[in-house]
Amino acid sequence: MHRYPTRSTMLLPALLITAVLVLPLHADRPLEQEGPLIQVLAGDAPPAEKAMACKKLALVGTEDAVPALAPLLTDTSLASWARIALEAIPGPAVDRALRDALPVVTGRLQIGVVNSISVRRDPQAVPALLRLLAERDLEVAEAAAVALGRIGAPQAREPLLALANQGPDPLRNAAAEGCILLAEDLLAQGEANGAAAIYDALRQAKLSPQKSAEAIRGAILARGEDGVPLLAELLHSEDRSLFNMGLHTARELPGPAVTRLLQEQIADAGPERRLHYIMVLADRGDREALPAAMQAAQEGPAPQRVTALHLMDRFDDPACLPVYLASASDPDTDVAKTARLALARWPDASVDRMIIEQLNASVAATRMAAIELIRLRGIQRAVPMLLQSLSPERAAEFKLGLKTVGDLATVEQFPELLNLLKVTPDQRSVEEALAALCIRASATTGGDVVVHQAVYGDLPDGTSRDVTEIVRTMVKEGQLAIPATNTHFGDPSGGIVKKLRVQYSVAGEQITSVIDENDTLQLTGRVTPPALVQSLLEALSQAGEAEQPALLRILQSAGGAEALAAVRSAANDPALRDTAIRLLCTWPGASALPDVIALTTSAQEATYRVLALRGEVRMIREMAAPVADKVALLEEAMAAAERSQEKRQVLAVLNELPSPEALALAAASFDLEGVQEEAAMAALAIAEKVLKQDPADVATIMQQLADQASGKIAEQAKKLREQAESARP
Amino acid sequence: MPPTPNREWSFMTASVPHVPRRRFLTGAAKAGAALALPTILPASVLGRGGATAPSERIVLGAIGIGNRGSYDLGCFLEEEDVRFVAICDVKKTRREAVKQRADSRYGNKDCAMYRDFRDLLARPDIDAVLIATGPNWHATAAMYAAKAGKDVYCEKPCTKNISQSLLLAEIFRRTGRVFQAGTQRRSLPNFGYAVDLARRGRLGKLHTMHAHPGGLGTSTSGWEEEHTLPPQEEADWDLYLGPAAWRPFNRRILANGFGFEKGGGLTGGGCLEWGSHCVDLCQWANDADTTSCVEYEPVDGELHARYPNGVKLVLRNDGWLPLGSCPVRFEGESGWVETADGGDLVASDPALLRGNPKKISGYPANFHIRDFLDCVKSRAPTRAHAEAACFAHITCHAANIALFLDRKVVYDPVKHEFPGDEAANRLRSEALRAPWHF
Repeated sequence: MHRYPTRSTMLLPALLITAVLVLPLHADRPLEQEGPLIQVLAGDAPPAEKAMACKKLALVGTEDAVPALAPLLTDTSLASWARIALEAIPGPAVDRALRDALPVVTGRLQIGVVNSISVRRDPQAVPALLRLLAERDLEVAEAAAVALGRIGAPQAREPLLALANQGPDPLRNAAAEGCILLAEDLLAQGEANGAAAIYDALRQAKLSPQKSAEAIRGAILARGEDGVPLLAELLHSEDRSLFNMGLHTARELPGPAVTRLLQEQIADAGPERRLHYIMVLADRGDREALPAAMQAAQEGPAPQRVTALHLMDRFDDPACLPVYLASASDPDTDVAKTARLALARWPDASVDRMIIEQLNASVAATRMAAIELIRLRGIQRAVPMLLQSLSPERAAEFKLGLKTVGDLATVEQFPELLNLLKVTPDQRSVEEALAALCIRASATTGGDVVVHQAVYGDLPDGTSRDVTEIVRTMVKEGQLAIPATNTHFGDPSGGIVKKLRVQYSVAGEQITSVIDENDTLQLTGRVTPPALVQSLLEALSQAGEAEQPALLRILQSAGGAEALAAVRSAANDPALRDTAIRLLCTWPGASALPDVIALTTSAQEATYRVLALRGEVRMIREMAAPVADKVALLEEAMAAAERSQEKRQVLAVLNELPSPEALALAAASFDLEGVQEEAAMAALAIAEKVLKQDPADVATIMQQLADQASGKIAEQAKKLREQAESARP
Repeated sequence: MPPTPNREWSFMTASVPHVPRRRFLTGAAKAGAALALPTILPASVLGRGGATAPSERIVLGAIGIGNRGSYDLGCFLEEEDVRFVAICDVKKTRREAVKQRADSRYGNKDCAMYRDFRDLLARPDIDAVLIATGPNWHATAAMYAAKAGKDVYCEKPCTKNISQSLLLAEIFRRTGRVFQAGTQRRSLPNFGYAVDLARRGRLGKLHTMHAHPGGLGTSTSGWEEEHTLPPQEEADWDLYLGPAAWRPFNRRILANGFGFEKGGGLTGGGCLEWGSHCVDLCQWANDADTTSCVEYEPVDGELHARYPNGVKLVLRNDGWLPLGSCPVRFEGESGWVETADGGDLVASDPALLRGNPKKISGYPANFHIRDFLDCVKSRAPTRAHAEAACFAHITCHAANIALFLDRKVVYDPVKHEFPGDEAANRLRSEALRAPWHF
């Protein structure tokens, strides 16, 4: 098996459906011997078996099978199956059998034989097929006309042309199709004049508009460049179907004469047809399309310009750059967006210089476009010039510029941004840029992750396997998404849903994560460069009241123990208390858990207690800890909860921790006001999962629930109690 | 697992001579190859930039509307420049349901119902048809529609074998009709962007592409026990069977719809069902819309194939990033990109993703249907034009043949044969039940 850089368990159920039609009789079995299959056909086997024998003979049959297959051509049930075999078996015996059957059968069976002769291109059948052109059954005659064309029978030319001119209505078009096939065959053999003559003759016939258009197309293509005047007629036509066929044929016919014709049309046509011609040129790969597209991109209605810009995009020609740059600041948003995306994808870095120069343009729209392009292209070297060019008085540019700086600036540029925070009236934009930079700077890599131990199986106490080395290898190869699957780790405890537990550290910070089978663990740890955090702390110590809340928020984006300590300390400062408490309650991960637990009881204000409790429940959910410990914390949270909303949040997290402890806590919540139903539902869900693990407690609690509840909940509780009783040892 | 072939197979040297010859290939192939990324047509030029005049409307009919077709039809009905006027289905209940929907949409009683699609195709006022019958009918109905002068949006898989694939391209080239295969991922920004990276050389020289076929088994339809035939008006069994070999009426086969004869012949299955999407995207990324792979080999539960330019194609079911269904991955000498139905793109270097368009997840067909309608008006090749669909399907069919035979096969994408391999050559085509023919 190949190893890929990254792997996952992600296989959507829909992808696993292989659409196999399971039927009692199949041909997709190992290929069989011809002899027994022939015997099936010759004997009294049911039609179903004979049908499958035909299908198998299509793979293994030889001329020996023909005597058994040929009689089936007169069998309305099996003729189509027999033809599957006969069309596939090589050799003249098949052709002979089909010719012999031709006068014997009628109607659909005869059409079937004609079609098989057509597919096999049997020239010896031509006389018989010519006779069938006069058949009263027009469907048979139509099939014969097409077959004659497909065989490429020269002697069919005149009869088919005559029918195309004067035959009954449906037969005319079939005869025309036969003629077109004949002409194509001649052309393939290099007989262009003969082909053109057939097409010209068809152009005189009274055919459907579709067939007439096909005849003209053929007449043009058969003549090559000599067909260009005829092509010009189509392109000038007011008849929509002929004009459409002209556009199609102009795409097909190679050569400079067509290119010239299209250029002439572009010069003379109105806006709609001009765009059609430019598109045809572009589809042909003619570089002559480029000047026309560049001109169309700079004038006329916006939709035309958008199309022209898209056409230019196909050529990757530097001559397009000035047009793109001018269009990137167009007032029409579609035009501007199309040009910007083309510039964003432009492979050559030389365009970066042109974009940076536009930061100093006199027109605001041009400067805005330049800033957006710097962001889209990720031009890091533009950041100093960008910072220099920004002015808070030009508010929109300042906002977009800071967003771009946040995306691109380096850690070295952090102090400069911090200084900007002190002086700008648009503090929020600077704050967002600094936060974005913190987050980018703290992104981890595989090299920062150290895997200490990884275990996969029936955790925590069942059979499991040490998979540390496998996970280490994945991380070494740069894979930080670890899928918990049997594919990767084997199946140490079959029949149950397993778990993967990984103990690892990122830059010294210890982390333990447990995920269920088929989930994917992201081995990430946030480590912000210490120098960056120090800069923030120093700035905080020196900042005035106006900047301090912003700096605290940036510290949350930076993360880490020092940042958390600073915010914790700020919670004691009356001026910063509100900001700091809100940051503690939304602190990512679980490191602020002690702080929020304390707040749930110590905070005087109800708002803070609610925020803290919500943060606590979230952090318990996210923390790496044994299930029992998490349930114990949830029990405390439940006790602290004053409102139904927070109690429901506790029960929702409890639902994710199926264990006897969780079941006990859910049961203890049966009588809590406002959440009785949620508690019952949580208990049912947990009981189902821990039934085998702890049948005694499940039986007791489900009995309690069945007694207390009514309706479906009571029914389900009773059912689970019975299951638990029978699961007891 | 594919069945083990009989090792006593008697190989014959003569080629089966009925794979269609390609005609007028030179010019058309050049035009197709020049098409890098599709053109987006302006609304006003095409008459949809506001109130659409009746003369600018595309008059649409639909053939075979089940679950998928119903979704497609919904997308069409949302377009202001479409006037849906006729439904054809072999099942009466479906005909009536679609009529009710269309009449409700337009506030009239005008939607006509047909049991036989030839009656619908005979209407001169209809410009285009949506074909969502089920794979058994896709190619046959599409070719009848083209010959009747209709443009076609056809659900996938579009063909049942190699021969049908070639004929599809040939007939749409000859008739000049617009064809769009229902491979809507060609019109979704994440897939288009990933393909663009590969085609423009942003990944370096492309060397390997990966596609998720969603199963690599092969299967066939069969002959089940006979049930009482319903009235023709309720469910036309003969038309349902269409080009498939005859068998007695069976309720399960009738209900199966999409699965019936999927892939055709002996070699249907997941490779074609999902490959018509993900292999198609690989063909596009490799600028291979006018060719197919030349070698195919089952290897340890995967299918490895190789294009004429040396690029390797791997059909595999596992080892994907968690990005959603139908993933593809393109690998070049200097980088790689992977994407799937979730709409996200992951690349070896974030710089490769600068300028990628807005994320769209859930693989909607609206954009693809809009592309089709625009091309009906402009006559430009659609994103999934017949030539591209032809060769993407050929790659899938040839892969299926390798899986069925459980061995390596070599394909000549110019002569369209497996040189000296009679067993594989016989799997290129299958007889159509009369009266149907191409």
